[in-house]
Amino acid sequence: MSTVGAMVLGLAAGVSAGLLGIGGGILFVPALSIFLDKTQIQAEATSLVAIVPVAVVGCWRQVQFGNVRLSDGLWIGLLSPLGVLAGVVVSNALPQRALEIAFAVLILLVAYRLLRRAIQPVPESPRPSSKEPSVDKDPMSS
Amino acid sequence: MIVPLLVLWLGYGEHEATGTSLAAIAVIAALAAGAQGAYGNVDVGNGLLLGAPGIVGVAIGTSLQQRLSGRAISLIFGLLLVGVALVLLIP
Repeated sequence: MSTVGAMVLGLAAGVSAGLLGIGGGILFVPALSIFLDKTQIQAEATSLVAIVPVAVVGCWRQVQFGNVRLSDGLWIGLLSPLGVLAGVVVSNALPQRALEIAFAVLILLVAYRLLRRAIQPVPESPRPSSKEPSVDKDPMSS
Repeated sequence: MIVPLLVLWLGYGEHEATGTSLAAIAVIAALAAGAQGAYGNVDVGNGLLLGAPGIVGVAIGTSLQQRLSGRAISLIFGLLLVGVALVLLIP
Protein backbone atom coordinates (compact mmCIF):
# COMPACT_ATOMS: atom_id res chain seq x y z
CA MET A 1 0.00 0.00 0.00
CA SER A 2 2.73 2.44 0.95
CA THR A 3 4.59 1.46 -2.21
CA VAL A 4 1.51 2.26 -4.28
CA GLY A 5 1.12 5.62 -2.52
CA ALA A 6 4.76 6.46 -3.17
CA MET A 7 4.45 5.54 -6.83
CA VAL A 8 1.29 7.64 -7.26
CA LEU A 9 3.13 10.63 -5.78
CA GLY A 10 6.06 9.79 -8.07
CA LEU A 11 3.75 9.96 -11.07
CA ALA A 12 2.36 13.29 -9.89
CA ALA A 13 5.90 14.58 -9.35
CA GLY A 14 6.73 13.67 -12.94
CA VAL A 15 3.66 15.45 -14.29
CA SER A 16 4.53 18.61 -12.36
CA ALA A 17 8.15 18.35 -13.53
CA GLY A 18 6.99 18.21 -17.15
CA LEU A 19 4.43 20.97 -16.78
CA LEU A 20 6.61 23.42 -14.88
CA GLY A 21 10.23 22.50 -15.59
CA ILE A 22 10.95 21.68 -11.95
CA GLY A 23 12.74 18.64 -10.57
CA GLY A 24 9.72 17.24 -8.77
CA GLY A 25 11.50 17.03 -5.42
CA ILE A 26 8.58 18.98 -3.98
CA LEU A 27 6.61 15.70 -4.23
CA PHE A 28 9.40 13.09 -4.35
CA VAL A 29 10.73 14.14 -0.93
CA PRO A 30 7.39 13.84 0.92
CA ALA A 31 6.71 10.55 -0.92
CA LEU A 32 9.96 9.15 0.48
CA SER A 33 9.49 10.46 4.01
CA ILE A 34 5.77 9.64 4.33
CA PHE A 35 5.48 6.33 2.48
CA LEU A 36 8.99 4.91 2.60
CA ASP A 37 10.06 5.99 6.10
CA LYS A 38 13.08 8.03 5.10
CA THR A 39 14.56 10.74 7.29
CA GLN A 40 14.59 14.24 5.77
CA ILE A 41 18.23 14.00 4.66
CA GLN A 42 17.76 10.48 3.23
CA ALA A 43 14.59 11.60 1.43
CA GLU A 44 16.28 14.62 -0.11
CA ALA A 45 19.32 12.58 -1.17
CA THR A 46 17.25 9.71 -2.57
CA SER A 47 14.90 12.07 -4.42
CA LEU A 48 17.91 13.06 -6.55
CA VAL A 49 18.02 9.52 -7.95
CA ALA A 50 14.41 9.93 -9.09
CA ILE A 51 14.96 13.47 -10.39
CA VAL A 52 17.84 12.57 -12.73
CA PRO A 53 15.92 10.22 -15.07
CA VAL A 54 12.79 12.38 -14.88
CA ALA A 55 14.73 15.50 -15.88
CA VAL A 56 16.62 13.67 -18.63
CA VAL A 57 13.44 12.24 -20.18
CA GLY A 58 11.57 15.55 -19.74
CA CYS A 59 14.44 17.44 -21.37
CA TRP A 60 14.57 14.94 -24.23
CA ARG A 61 10.83 15.39 -24.82
CA GLN A 62 11.18 19.17 -24.74
CA VAL A 63 14.05 18.97 -27.24
CA GLN A 64 11.60 17.24 -29.58
CA PHE A 65 9.13 20.08 -29.03
CA GLY A 66 11.87 22.62 -29.76
CA ASN A 67 11.81 24.09 -26.26
CA VAL A 68 15.39 23.57 -25.04
CA ARG A 69 18.43 25.82 -25.32
CA LEU A 70 20.72 22.95 -24.46
CA SER A 71 24.01 24.78 -23.99
CA ASP A 72 22.36 27.39 -21.73
CA GLY A 73 20.82 24.63 -19.64
CA LEU A 74 24.04 22.68 -19.30
CA TRP A 75 25.97 25.81 -18.33
CA ILE A 76 23.41 26.70 -15.67
CA GLY A 77 23.66 23.15 -14.36
CA LEU A 78 27.45 23.17 -14.24
CA LEU A 79 27.70 26.62 -12.63
CA SER A 80 25.00 26.08 -10.01
CA PRO A 81 27.33 24.27 -7.56
CA LEU A 82 29.05 27.66 -7.10
CA GLY A 83 25.70 29.08 -6.01
CA VAL A 84 25.28 26.14 -3.67
CA LEU A 85 28.64 26.89 -2.05
CA ALA A 86 27.63 30.53 -1.52
CA GLY A 87 24.30 29.34 -0.12
CA VAL A 88 26.03 27.05 2.37
CA VAL A 89 28.15 29.96 3.66
CA VAL A 90 25.10 32.23 4.04
CA SER A 91 22.90 29.55 5.56
CA ASN A 92 25.45 28.78 8.25
CA ALA A 93 25.72 32.47 9.11
CA LEU A 94 21.99 33.08 9.65
CA PRO A 95 19.36 31.52 11.93
CA GLN A 96 17.01 28.99 10.35
CA ARG A 97 13.86 31.08 10.86
CA ALA A 98 15.43 34.16 9.27
CA LEU A 99 16.37 32.07 6.24
CA GLU A 100 12.84 30.70 5.92
CA ILE A 101 11.31 34.17 6.07
CA ALA A 102 13.85 35.66 3.68
CA PHE A 103 13.30 32.85 1.18
CA ALA A 104 9.51 33.14 1.52
CA VAL A 105 9.67 36.89 0.82
CA LEU A 106 11.92 36.29 -2.18
CA ILE A 107 9.62 33.72 -3.76
CA LEU A 108 6.54 35.89 -3.05
CA LEU A 109 8.20 38.69 -5.04
CA VAL A 110 8.92 36.28 -7.88
CA ALA A 111 5.36 34.92 -7.66
CA TYR A 112 3.97 38.45 -7.87
CA ARG A 113 5.91 39.14 -11.05
CA LEU A 114 4.91 35.83 -12.63
CA LEU A 115 1.24 36.34 -11.76
CA ARG A 116 1.31 39.90 -13.07
CA ARG A 117 2.81 38.58 -16.29
CA ALA A 118 0.13 35.89 -16.46
CA ILE A 119 -2.72 38.43 -16.38
CA GLN A 120 -1.16 41.02 -18.67
CA PRO A 121 -3.35 41.61 -21.74
CA VAL A 122 -0.30 41.90 -24.02
CA PRO A 123 -0.35 39.35 -26.85
CA GLU A 124 1.68 36.19 -26.44
CA SER A 125 5.12 36.22 -27.99
CA PRO A 126 4.89 34.12 -31.14
CA ARG A 127 5.28 30.38 -30.70
CA PRO A 128 5.75 28.02 -33.60
CA SER A 129 2.21 27.41 -34.83
CA SER A 130 0.47 26.29 -37.96
CA LYS A 131 -1.98 29.20 -37.95
CA GLU A 132 -2.15 31.12 -41.18
CA PRO A 133 -1.25 34.79 -41.08
CA SER A 134 -4.27 36.87 -40.09
CA VAL A 135 -6.04 38.53 -42.99
CA ASP A 136 -6.92 42.18 -42.76
CA LYS A 137 -10.69 42.25 -42.66
CA ASP A 138 -11.06 46.02 -42.49
CA PRO A 139 -13.93 46.84 -44.88
CA MET A 140 -12.68 50.40 -45.34
CA SER A 141 -9.46 49.23 -46.94
CA SER A 142 -11.02 47.55 -49.94
CA MET B 1 13.82 28.87 -9.26
CA ILE B 2 15.47 28.38 -12.65
CA VAL B 3 12.27 28.88 -14.65
CA PRO B 4 11.32 32.30 -13.19
CA LEU B 5 14.93 33.41 -13.56
CA LEU B 6 14.95 32.51 -17.26
CA VAL B 7 11.51 34.05 -17.87
CA LEU B 8 11.79 37.26 -15.82
CA TRP B 9 15.48 38.08 -16.27
CA LEU B 10 16.57 36.50 -19.52
CA GLY B 11 13.41 36.95 -21.56
CA TYR B 12 12.76 33.27 -22.28
CA GLY B 13 9.29 32.14 -23.24
CA GLU B 14 7.75 29.87 -20.62
CA HIS B 15 7.99 26.70 -22.71
CA GLU B 16 11.66 27.31 -23.51
CA ALA B 17 12.39 28.16 -19.89
CA THR B 18 10.87 24.94 -18.56
CA GLY B 19 12.66 22.79 -21.17
CA THR B 20 16.01 24.47 -20.56
CA SER B 21 15.47 24.22 -16.81
CA LEU B 22 15.09 20.44 -17.09
CA ALA B 23 18.49 20.24 -18.82
CA ALA B 24 20.05 22.20 -15.95
CA ILE B 25 18.26 20.13 -13.32
CA ALA B 26 19.49 16.87 -14.87
CA VAL B 27 23.08 18.08 -14.44
CA ILE B 28 22.52 19.51 -10.93
CA ALA B 29 20.70 16.43 -9.66
CA ALA B 30 23.33 14.07 -11.12
CA LEU B 31 26.17 16.01 -9.44
CA ALA B 32 24.28 16.22 -6.15
CA ALA B 33 23.29 12.54 -6.25
CA GLY B 34 26.95 11.62 -6.66
CA ALA B 35 27.92 13.78 -3.69
CA GLN B 36 25.10 12.46 -1.48
CA GLY B 37 25.90 8.93 -2.55
CA ALA B 38 29.40 9.39 -1.17
CA TYR B 39 27.82 10.13 2.23
CA GLY B 40 25.67 7.00 2.03
CA ASN B 41 22.35 8.87 2.14
CA VAL B 42 21.07 7.60 -1.20
CA ASP B 43 18.74 4.61 -1.55
CA VAL B 44 19.02 3.86 -5.26
CA GLY B 45 16.25 1.23 -5.25
CA ASN B 46 13.65 3.52 -3.70
CA GLY B 47 14.81 6.40 -5.88
CA LEU B 48 14.15 4.34 -9.00
CA LEU B 49 10.85 3.12 -7.53
CA LEU B 50 9.71 6.75 -7.68
CA GLY B 51 11.68 7.65 -10.79
CA ALA B 52 9.93 5.00 -12.91
CA PRO B 53 6.39 6.42 -12.50
CA GLY B 54 8.02 9.85 -12.57
CA ILE B 55 9.27 9.19 -16.12
CA VAL B 56 5.73 8.29 -17.20
CA GLY B 57 4.51 11.44 -15.47
CA VAL B 58 7.04 13.73 -17.10
CA ALA B 59 6.10 12.38 -20.55
CA ILE B 60 2.47 13.21 -19.76
CA GLY B 61 3.36 16.59 -18.25
CA THR B 62 5.46 17.75 -21.19
CA SER B 63 2.71 16.74 -23.64
CA LEU B 64 0.04 18.52 -21.59
CA GLN B 65 2.25 21.58 -21.45
CA GLN B 66 2.26 21.96 -25.23
CA ARG B 67 -1.48 22.64 -25.03
CA LEU B 68 -1.01 25.44 -22.51
CA SER B 69 -0.15 29.06 -23.23
CA GLY B 70 2.95 30.57 -21.70
CA ARG B 71 0.66 32.73 -19.56
CA ALA B 72 -1.02 29.68 -18.11
CA ILE B 73 2.37 28.21 -17.17
CA SER B 74 3.34 31.47 -15.44
CA LEU B 75 0.01 31.45 -13.61
CA ILE B 76 0.42 27.88 -12.32
CA PHE B 77 4.06 28.52 -11.39
CA GLY B 78 3.16 31.73 -9.55
CA LEU B 79 0.43 29.98 -7.55
CA LEU B 80 2.82 27.14 -6.67
CA LEU B 81 5.36 29.67 -5.35
CA VAL B 82 2.68 31.36 -3.23
CA GLY B 83 1.87 27.95 -1.76
CA VAL B 84 5.52 27.21 -0.99
CA ALA B 85 5.94 30.65 0.60
CA LEU B 86 2.92 30.04 2.86
CA VAL B 87 4.31 26.67 3.95
CA LEU B 88 7.60 28.38 4.83
CA LEU B 89 5.94 31.25 6.70
CA ILE B 90 3.57 29.13 8.78
CA PRO B 91 5.69 28.12 11.77
